Amino acid sequence: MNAEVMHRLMVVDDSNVIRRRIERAHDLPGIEFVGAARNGVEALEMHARLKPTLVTMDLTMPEMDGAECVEKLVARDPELRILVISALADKLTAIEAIEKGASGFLCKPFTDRQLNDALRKLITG
Amino acid sequence: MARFTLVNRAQWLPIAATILFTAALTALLAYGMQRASRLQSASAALQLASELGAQPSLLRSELTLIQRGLETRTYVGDSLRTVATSNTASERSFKELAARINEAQLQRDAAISSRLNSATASWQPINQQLQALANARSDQLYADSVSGSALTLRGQQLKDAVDEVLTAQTQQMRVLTTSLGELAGALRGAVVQNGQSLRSLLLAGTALAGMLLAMMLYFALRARRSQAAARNAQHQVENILGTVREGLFLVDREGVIGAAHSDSLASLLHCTSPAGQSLEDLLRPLVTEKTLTAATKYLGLLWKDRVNEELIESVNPLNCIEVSLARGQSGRENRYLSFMFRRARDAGDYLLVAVADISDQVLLQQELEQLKSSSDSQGELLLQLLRIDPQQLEALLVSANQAFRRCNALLTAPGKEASKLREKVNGVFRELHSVKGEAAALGLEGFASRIHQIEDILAGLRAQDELSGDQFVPVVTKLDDLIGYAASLGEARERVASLPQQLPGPQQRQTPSGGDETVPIIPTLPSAPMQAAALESLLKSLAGEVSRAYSRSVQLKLDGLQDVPPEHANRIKDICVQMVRNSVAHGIEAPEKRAVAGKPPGGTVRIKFEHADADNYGLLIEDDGQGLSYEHILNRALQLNLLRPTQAVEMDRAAVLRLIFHPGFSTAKTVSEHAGRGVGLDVVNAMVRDCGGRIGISTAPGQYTRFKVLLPKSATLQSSAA
Repeated sequence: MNAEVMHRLMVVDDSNVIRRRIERAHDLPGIEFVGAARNGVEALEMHARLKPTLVTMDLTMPEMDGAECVEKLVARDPELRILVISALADKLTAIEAIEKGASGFLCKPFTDRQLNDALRKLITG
Repeated sequence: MARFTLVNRAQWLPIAATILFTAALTALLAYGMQRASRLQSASAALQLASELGAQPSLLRSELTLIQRGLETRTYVGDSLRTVATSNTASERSFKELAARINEAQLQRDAAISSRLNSATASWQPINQQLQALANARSDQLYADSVSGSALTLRGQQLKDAVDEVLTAQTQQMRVLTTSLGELAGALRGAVVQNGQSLRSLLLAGTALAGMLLAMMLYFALRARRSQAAARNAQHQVENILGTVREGLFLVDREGVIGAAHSDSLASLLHCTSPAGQSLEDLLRPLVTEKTLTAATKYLGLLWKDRVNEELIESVNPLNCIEVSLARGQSGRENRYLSFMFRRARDAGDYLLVAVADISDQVLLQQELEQLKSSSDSQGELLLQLLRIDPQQLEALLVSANQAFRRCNALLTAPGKEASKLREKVNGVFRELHSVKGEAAALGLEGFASRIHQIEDILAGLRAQDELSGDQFVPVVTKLDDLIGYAASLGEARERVASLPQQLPGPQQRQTPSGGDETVPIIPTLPSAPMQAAALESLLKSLAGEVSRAYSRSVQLKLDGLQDVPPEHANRIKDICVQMVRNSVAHGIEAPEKRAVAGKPPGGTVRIKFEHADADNYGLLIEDDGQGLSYEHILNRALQLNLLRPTQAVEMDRAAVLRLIFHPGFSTAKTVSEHAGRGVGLDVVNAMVRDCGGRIGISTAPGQYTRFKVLLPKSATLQSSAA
């Protein structure tokens, strides 16, 4: 759409399947997929390297709590837009992540369309 | 902000206008007072001038009297005093006149000042002469002699002085009279003018006072009107809050519920006075600790401006909560409540909260889902009927109809006494329960579960201490539904009966040792010569029925079925029936969707039987439908908790596809109800594995799904219903 505004997307998820689904969803115009991390520690390490502008993050991951990871990433880059993904039943974690600076929420399970909508909102909102 | 400005303007305008009008009126009155005192002075001056105007003639007549008196030698003392007094008074009057004219600010008036000056000038010499005259003594004016009375020297002097005044001052007095007359005229003019302007001022003042009064009336009226509007609005708000079924209230930053809330709030939350209580305290007995923590944090989030409304709404932990509320003296009742939060900070630092009882919606939703799962689609119903002995089905429907008639008779029988009602409950229960047993034995789960629901209601009625006729309404409604279902079953049975004649019934099957409880999955086929034709006919009819039920257009292509060996005949029939149903129902897309994908509107399902290799037969079932979706399968499996996300990570594509054979995958929603029905892919899988065979799947999204079944040639003849 607009070649000047290219968002760099990093996926943080411990599930291969969901990771691949999100990677595939990057056919959204204006989003460039730059990398995927399996856990919070990896996400922090990769963030320093890849400098993403968008992050999708599963909130229940090994190594580091998702909300904690959100907090650390936002501390590094306050402009970073993070879409947190969690199960419907676990709204507390989602609320905590939003408190810590996440900009979007997607509830599992989700369809490709819901994912695309959430990513689009993340860019425009 | 704009609203506050408006409020201020509305408040300040009457005050400012009143002040302005009052100031103007005060100024006008002050000026009027000044004009009035000038008018007063002018009037006094006019009076003085008029009085003075009469003095010259008075003086003249007195002087003439003195003159005559002296001539006739009479007493002139009185007249002399009068002249003296009059002279003094006139002198004083002149001074006062000048002072009044000054007071009336008429000294600048040329006409008045010139006349005053001229009158004063004429008066001065008269005054001096009169002064001298006034000092004259009135005794010893005459001396009596024989020739009569004669003037003494003093008398003569007095007479000379009087004569002189009379002759010398006659002209002056005339001038004086004229001047004073003119002065009086000018003063009269000034008085009239002053009076006129004073009248104008009074008129203006009256008008101003009238305007002020009108304005005050207007503002008073407006205030009354806005008060009435405010009262009306308040009344309306009270009405709304009293009528609305939702609990509406405001919550402040401390989480405390505001004083104004809808009446229904108390009943929704089962508390006596929610106002002033904290929302958290109200929620504590209703929700789990975790939900309460989430709710508290969520309230905190609502105050954060940076978080947008939509995002906040998506994580609302209270949008649908199940709460257990005390009902009556014992007993509790489970309800579903939905809380909605909106920032309403324009009206102060508050959140607007709406809480609604959504139990009806939630229960309806649940019921719909239940109905959806229990009411089989036409295709599934047909499939079900295909595997039931028509005679048994006929017998069931006959006995069911009899039972329904007896139930109706029981329910419509007279008798409202408790014992009669109790008899009715038990009678209907007995009638239906036996039908339920029969239906369940034939595997008609939908039928059985419908009866089960009625039994639940009846059991509820049995437990009641007191019964009334009204309580039978749900029983009658559900019974109607059941009768309708039985009728649709009858119709479906007729459609199955109209399938081609060569389709054999189960009575023809050749089971060597078939016990009574062995229910065949599908009517068993006869031996070799007839079987291929019968199977083809069965599958084509089935494909037709299922595609009608699902609004699909499907062409069935069969190949090599004549080579099916007898030992696999039943198995292959069962597999094909399931696979054809599956392909038509789930594989082939609706014609319009196919058109979008650039496919011909009619789908094709191909079944091919062959000798795959030396050891195996091959059965290929292929459709050109939408293919299997890995994501869909994975999501469904995750949703159904068939596997954990960590397992999903490890899976390759083939493993993902194999999930569809998982028991409970294809008919997951009804797995308990339909267990043993044998319509799922897991049953196909089990049948294949039982005889030592294998199934392979390949698929391309949007293009095809292909099942390849390998069956060992060495398999011994088994009952497919094993």
